[in-house]
Amino acid sequence: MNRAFAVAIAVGFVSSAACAADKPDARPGMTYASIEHLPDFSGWWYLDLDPNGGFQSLGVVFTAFAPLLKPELAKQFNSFLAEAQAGALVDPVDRGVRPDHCKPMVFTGFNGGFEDNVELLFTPGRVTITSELGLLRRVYLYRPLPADADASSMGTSVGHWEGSTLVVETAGLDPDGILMTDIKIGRNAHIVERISLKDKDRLEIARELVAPDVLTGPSNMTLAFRRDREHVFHEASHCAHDDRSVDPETARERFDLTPPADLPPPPH
Amino acid sequence: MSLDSTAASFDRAPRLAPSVRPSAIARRALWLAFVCLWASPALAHHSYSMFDMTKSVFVEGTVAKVEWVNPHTFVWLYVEKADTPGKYDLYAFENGPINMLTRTGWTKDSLRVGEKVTVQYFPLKDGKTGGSFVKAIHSDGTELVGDKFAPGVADAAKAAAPKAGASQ
Repeated sequence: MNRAFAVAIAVGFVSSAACAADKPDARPGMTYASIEHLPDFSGWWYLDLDPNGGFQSLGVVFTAFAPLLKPELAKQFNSFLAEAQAGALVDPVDRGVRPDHCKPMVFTGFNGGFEDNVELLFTPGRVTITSELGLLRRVYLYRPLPADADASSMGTSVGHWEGSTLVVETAGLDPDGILMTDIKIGRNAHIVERISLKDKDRLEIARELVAPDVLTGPSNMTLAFRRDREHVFHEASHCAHDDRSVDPETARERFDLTPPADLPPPPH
Repeated sequence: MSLDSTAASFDRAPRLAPSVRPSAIARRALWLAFVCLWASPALAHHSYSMFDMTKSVFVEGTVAKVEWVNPHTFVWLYVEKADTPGKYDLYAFENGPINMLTRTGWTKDSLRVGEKVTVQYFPLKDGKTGGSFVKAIHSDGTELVGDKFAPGVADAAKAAAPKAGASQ
């Protein structure tokens, strides 16, 4: 009797465990079925800028950081501003910055959407944010952010859904990643992004950045994106070996006037 | 660079129309654009310091080639020397990246090889035959503006082309 009871208990335990294992995760984004009920982030996204001079509206990127720079860095940045205002922009190499145009992209809070288009892809338990310039962020849903994440180009990202808003938290960012001009993001930077649809084809990313090495407090910025469903992937690149504007050996700016090999002859 | 049908040399005799200088407001916008351009390495990848962004100029020529590549497309133009008919200078114009252009309607066939156009551009500071592309004007008068998000382009493109035959 006792033996039969024990067997029954064991069978029941195994069965209920199996049932629990089969029970789908009810949290949003953890199954293909639940993904169908999430906001539609599909398609390609690019920054929503006024095409007739809207480049200046990117100033939001600059104004988000500049007032918060630590004094020694503010001095450095103001020096750059003065040069720019005087029309004396210099080659980045002469400012001590060697652009690493062919190295993998380093994420410091900007997902792209300017020279490239951005995708947000949903699979169970994960959101992947990628761009045509090589951004590749893996956002793991409902996992804790590791306290000691190793530094990497994209950092370590976790996320969760708050209603129709995807909240992404990132740490483990490469301290040498450029934040702005020649200022690096530094150690222990932390980013929180709140990503949501504002209307059918408009996405907003509201971002808070904490960068204790360089900023005196959290920096907040919101960027808007427009959807292009018809866009077909086109690889974007900053590689200097494809760029007539940058010498791949020295990283200095140049203007390579070597005619293309297949240039047709001049008109007769 | 000067070219004829059989040979190439490296002298220069540009035939340029009068330059266009931006207004004070446009200059401030241009300065802001430079600042923004540097705000993040992901926004743009060079400083445009090689170009004279304080003025734009026009030149007439024949499209030799469009290099439809990233990170910059390039437009090559044969420009006939004013004082030596049958001989040409070869001009090169840096234009925006493919994605930026296609968003505003460009295709790789927007400028056809052999087509006669007038190109507006910010000239190279070193005086060589080339610069940063602002817009092309087709023979029927329609205009094709380059990378509208690049510094100075949207404002400079508002300038009308000078009349044919104008000299610098």
